[in-house]
Amino acid sequence: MSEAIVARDLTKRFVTKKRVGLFRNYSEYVDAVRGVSLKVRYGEVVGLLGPNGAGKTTTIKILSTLLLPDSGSASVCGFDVVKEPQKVRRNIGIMLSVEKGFYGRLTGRENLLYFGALYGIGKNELEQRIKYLLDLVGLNELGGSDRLYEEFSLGMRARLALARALLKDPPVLLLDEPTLGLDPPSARKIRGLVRELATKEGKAILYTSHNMFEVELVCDKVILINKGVVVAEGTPEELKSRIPKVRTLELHLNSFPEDLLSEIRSYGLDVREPTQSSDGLYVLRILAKRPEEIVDDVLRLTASRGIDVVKLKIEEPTLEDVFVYFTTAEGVEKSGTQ
Amino acid sequence: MLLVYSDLFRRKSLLVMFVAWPYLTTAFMLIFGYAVGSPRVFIERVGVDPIQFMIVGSYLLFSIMTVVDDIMWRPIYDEQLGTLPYIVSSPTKLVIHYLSMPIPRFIASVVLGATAVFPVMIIFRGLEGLLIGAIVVLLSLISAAVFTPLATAVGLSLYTFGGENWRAINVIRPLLLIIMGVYYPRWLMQWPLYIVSSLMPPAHCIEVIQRIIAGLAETYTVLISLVLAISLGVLYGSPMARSATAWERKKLEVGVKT
Ligand SMILES: Nc1ncnc2c1ncn2[C@@H]1O[C@H](COP(=O)(O)OP(=O)(O)O)[C@@H](O)[C@H]1O
Ligand SMILES: [Mg+2]
Repeated sequence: MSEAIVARDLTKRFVTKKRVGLFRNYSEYVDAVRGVSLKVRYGEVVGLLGPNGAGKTTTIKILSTLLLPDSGSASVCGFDVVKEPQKVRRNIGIMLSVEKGFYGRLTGRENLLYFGALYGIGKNELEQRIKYLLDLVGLNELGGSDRLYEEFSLGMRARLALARALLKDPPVLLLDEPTLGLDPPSARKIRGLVRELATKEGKAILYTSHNMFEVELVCDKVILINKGVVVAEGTPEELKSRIPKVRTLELHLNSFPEDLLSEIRSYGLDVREPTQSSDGLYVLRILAKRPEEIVDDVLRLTASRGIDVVKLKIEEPTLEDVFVYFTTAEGVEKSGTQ
Repeated sequence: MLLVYSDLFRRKSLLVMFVAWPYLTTAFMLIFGYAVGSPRVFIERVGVDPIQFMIVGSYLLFSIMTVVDDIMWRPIYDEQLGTLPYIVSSPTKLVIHYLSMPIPRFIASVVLGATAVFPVMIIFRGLEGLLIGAIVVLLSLISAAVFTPLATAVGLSLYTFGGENWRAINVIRPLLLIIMGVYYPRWLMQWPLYIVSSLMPPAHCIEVIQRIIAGLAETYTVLISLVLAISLGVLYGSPMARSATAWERKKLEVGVKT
């Protein structure tokens, strides 16, 4: 039983009634989640990564017993989310929004007292726990414990939300975009804590995000989700190794004749449309398995056209490339046959 | 209990309003009352100065409204604040939670509102006014308690089945209170209205108070009214529980808003 969260083929369709005229209605369907399966073990941070509308929040809500799935099953700490919601609730800490979810006219500490009481934590234990948590998330030093929540910055709000999720010291954490829009120090603090909670305290953490960079920083495993479907999963390294043209040759050019693109393409190279950098240079990216082998050819070509190469670098693939790969038609086909 | 205290604490800014409100409404109702009909007509029909009716009416209205408001608005408020998911996912039962929410505010309103009732009653009735004041306070407690199940059932059903029309609560709420007949002697109501209002538990408490003030109270009518009020209150308990379950179910189907 090392698996803390198990979900099998979860589906959820939302029906929204649109009113046309006074009496006529029609229903619109959104398949938010279409057969999502995932597993999270204790001591592990799993990132659920996908663009807006991919179904991340829907999945988190189903797992936190706040939404009933249409089909499929899920369990948290061995308890079924539909049949035993109360038992699941006792074992999870949830963070569903960074900017909302507290009472504005209570201070940070009072808010935690309130929710702690709601969770049925004894008074003495609760006060100690709150003191510890406010320190842990760094709200004490930011003066958040005795300031009204409505005066909190976004970073402070997120910290308080994480503190609330930890009130019961639950073995499982479900965090929905916990760093969305945060200032860098707060985001870093939260990522650091998440990492620590999994590694040191053995918590199972499901972490959603649409930021590839941070997922790579905190997560042991990544699940890519797009339009309600899991398109790929694995460690960040595994995922990167699964995209065929994994590396990029990046050139910063001082000019860019229109026909250069087609000329490079005529050599059979996979080159992307150039972008403009902030210092007015054209940034050209060529994707290749071994970019070092084509550097000479490319440089010869630019020299013959009288173009200065200001900067040149070979980039390792990012999770973003992985993501783009798996969410475009090309990737979906291949992941489907595996 | 801690929950209740911290809730009261949040509302400390409202405490000032508790003190001011009964006076304000009373003043308003007096002016309004005199404008609508001459006090002499009222005295002829009821036998008592309307001021007594007004002040007690305002007080009752206010204390009942405190509770009803809290219970009816709270779920919407929590949904908009984004606190609802954390409340739903807590082991505390939803109904219990929402029923306990108005307690501190209610106590505050009862105590502070009494500062308006006692002076007026003592001015009109002397020492007897003290007793009447006490009865009024007691009955306001009972009124609020017996009204809660009905108000909760109506509010939550509307939220569950009304879809976008939940804002109708704005109309229904004052309507419920008017039908109860806080400002007018209930026994002088037209009979259809009287029957409708009889279905509301607190209406019977209100009648008791009004009869006491008008000097028409007899032990057995008072008892019958109280028994009616309480049994009606209990009767609405089951619709309340059912509406709460339905509401929670609906929330889980469409997903608790974050
Ligand atoms: N309560 C709802 N009613 C109707 N549609 C919804 C509801 N919640 C989410 N959706 C739709 O479901 C899809 C997935 O949403 P969501 O899970 O919130 O995505 P994410 O969190 O990955 O951005 C979106 O297209 C969204 O518009
Ligand atoms: Mg989301």
